[in-house]
Amino acid sequence: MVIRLIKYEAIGMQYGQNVILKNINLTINDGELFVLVGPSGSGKTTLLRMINRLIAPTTGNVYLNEKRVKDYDLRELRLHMGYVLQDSSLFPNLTVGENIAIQLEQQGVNKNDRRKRSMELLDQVGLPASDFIDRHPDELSGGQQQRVAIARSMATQPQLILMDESFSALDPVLRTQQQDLLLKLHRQSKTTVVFVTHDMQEALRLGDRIAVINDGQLQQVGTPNEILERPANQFVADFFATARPRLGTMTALLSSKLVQKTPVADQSAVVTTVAELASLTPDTTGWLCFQYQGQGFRIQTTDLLHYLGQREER
Amino acid sequence: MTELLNTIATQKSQIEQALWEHLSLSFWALVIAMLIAIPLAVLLKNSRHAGEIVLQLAGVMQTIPSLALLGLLIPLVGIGSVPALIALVVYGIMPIYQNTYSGLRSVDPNLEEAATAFGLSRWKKLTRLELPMALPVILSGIRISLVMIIGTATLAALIGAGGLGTYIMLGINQNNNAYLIIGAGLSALLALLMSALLKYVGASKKHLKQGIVVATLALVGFGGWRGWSSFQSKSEPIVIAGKLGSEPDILIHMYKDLIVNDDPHAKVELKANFGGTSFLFRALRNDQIDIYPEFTGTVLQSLVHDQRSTPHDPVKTYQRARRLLKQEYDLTYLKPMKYQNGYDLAVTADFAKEHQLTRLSDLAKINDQITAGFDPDFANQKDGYLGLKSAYSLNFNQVKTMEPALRYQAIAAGRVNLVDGYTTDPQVRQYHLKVLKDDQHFFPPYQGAPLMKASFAKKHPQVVKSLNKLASKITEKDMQEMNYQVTVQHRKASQVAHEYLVEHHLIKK
Repeated sequence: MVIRLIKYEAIGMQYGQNVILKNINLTINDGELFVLVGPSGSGKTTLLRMINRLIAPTTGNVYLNEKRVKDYDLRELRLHMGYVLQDSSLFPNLTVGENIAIQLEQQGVNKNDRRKRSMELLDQVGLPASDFIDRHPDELSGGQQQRVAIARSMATQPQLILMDESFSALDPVLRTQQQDLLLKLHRQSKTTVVFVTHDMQEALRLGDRIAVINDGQLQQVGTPNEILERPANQFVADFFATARPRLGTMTALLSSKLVQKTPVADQSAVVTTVAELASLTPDTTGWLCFQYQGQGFRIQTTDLLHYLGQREER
Repeated sequence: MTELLNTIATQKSQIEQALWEHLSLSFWALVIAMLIAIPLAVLLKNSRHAGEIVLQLAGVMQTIPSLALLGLLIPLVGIGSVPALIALVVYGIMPIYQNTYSGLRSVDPNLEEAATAFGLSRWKKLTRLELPMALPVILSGIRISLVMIIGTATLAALIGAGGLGTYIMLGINQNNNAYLIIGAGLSALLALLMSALLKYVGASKKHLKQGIVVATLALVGFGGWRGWSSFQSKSEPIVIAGKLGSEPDILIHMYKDLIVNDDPHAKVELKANFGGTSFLFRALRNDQIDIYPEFTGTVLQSLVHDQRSTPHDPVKTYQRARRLLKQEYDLTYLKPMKYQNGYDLAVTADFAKEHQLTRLSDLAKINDQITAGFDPDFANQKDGYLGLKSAYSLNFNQVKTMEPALRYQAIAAGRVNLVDGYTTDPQVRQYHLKVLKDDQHFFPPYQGAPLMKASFAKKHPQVVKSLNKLASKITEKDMQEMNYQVTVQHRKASQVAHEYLVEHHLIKK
């Protein structure tokens, strides 16, 4: 059963004469990695910040588990959400460990438990805990800082993490690494993530589902494949047009060493394009099994993503 | 240099006390300024408008000259440490407020937003993030403020709050460089030292914690000590103050010795170098001091409203001063001492011998041989040289005006052969000068006597009796000698005073 975790209902937002958002209706499901994508100024960040009430809509309501967000106790609401901004926004006066545990500190968790949790999280984001926990942010590289920021967002084991252009300031290599990390963590925790980006490649890589926003209006909501294959309108088609050829041809993919031949399995899906392959659901061990031109193949999801990521960089 | 070391050696305990007064006054001013400025900046950091207005206001206060501020405060809160503290706090607030305010406002808005989005409480945000991030800027504000306070605190001496300024004032007053160096040097040293200490404290979290612990201990300890000592001294001491200079200092020590000699249980507090005439007079009337020595001539010329010209007879002068003080201010003016400390003209002993000079009248015959070195005021006043000219038919060959302190050096160097001065100036003895007798009684008489409130005199008849023992005592020569011992030989005023009293059998040993 799908829990309807976040629901935007008839959201409108207006600053004076300036219309930011118009009649947005949108549902984000439990455990989804949901991407809000659109050009800058489209209103996607405004939409995100309505969830933790940094911004209140002028009309309509945002629901969290069927309860309006404005009916929550503000501090409780925010304390149980993770938040990752574009810059890492680590607090420069606190150590890495203190940064990660800042929400726990506010919750009154004792020092030992906070430190233990920070160590766990550092391990999860791939930073050696004993080496990093007592450092200050200015001793970390940009990528490391962003990893710490992600660790911080998971400190309270939130049901929901909000990410606002979190990787946009990183260079392409680091960005891909962070995306991999996010996908891995998301697979492990199944926490709902709402991710805002202006980069359609990133949207396609990360999103279980994607909402395309332009000019304050919702253009289309769907899986990456749906959006690529059946764009709802000209804007969506144009916006993702550049993304399409970059996925490359199946022949190119098969000639890489990433794909293994397997006996043809009946239940595996038949694909004709890389985009279709990318939209398949992997099995529990991360394998994507598929048939192409009558032959059976399989590829690790991470390998496929890596392959696609490399293509992006060209 | 030897003079400086000498002064330091003889004045050690006074210097220590001045240093301590200076330090504690500055410390409290800084603490109070911090307690006002930092919370204010925290409160106003989110309201740009109010914050800027307060910033402007603090800036305006900064531009009021410190002396003027002290003057403005005297009618409101009197004299002593309180107005000095208020003035210093007013000065100290601005740099701390400005730095705290701009430090808090310059915290990256991204970080602010992150902290808000994490659901941190305002208090948590403030203590864990905003204040620590703004801390270096705040600390540098505190340092600026501290250095300013220590510097400005030298002015506290002007209103009787003591401190190192006392030495600066004395130094200027007596043209004594040793005092100036002690006052200015120590306050500069203090500022540097404290600033370095604050820098050390601000260098790391650990140092900061140490600093806070030490400051808290100092606060608690000091508060406790103050409470204990105020508990201890229930009986009100008799406060005797004196004007700037060695002579009043010697006199008030005599007063103290006389009082304590007759009543060993009496508590007497001395405030030497307390300020100028009008300042002491106001302090007396406001009950901030009980007694101070004042001159009869000064009373008639500056304190009471006397239409007639000052009599030339010392007894008449005293009588009129006493009557008018009682009438106008309800003050009691005890009997004066013997010596007169008024204007005089002095020549070198050799010059006097050569021309057989003993009286001012003798000068007329050698008008053309005289090069006079006068204080600019004296040279141009009716009761100075101008009046003197017609009274004694003088018309000196040449009159040079110069800083009062330089006159004696000029006559010692032979650049002039006659100077104006005061009859008890120690330089008379130092440079072997001859004071010429004012045989026409041109100069108004200046005789010193204890001045107090009539109510005080009534309440303390024993004190009046003790002080009256000095009446008609101390000759001009005695006073010159004592002034010489204190200002030139750097002996302690208390010792010099005590010796005189013992020698003249005014007190038992």
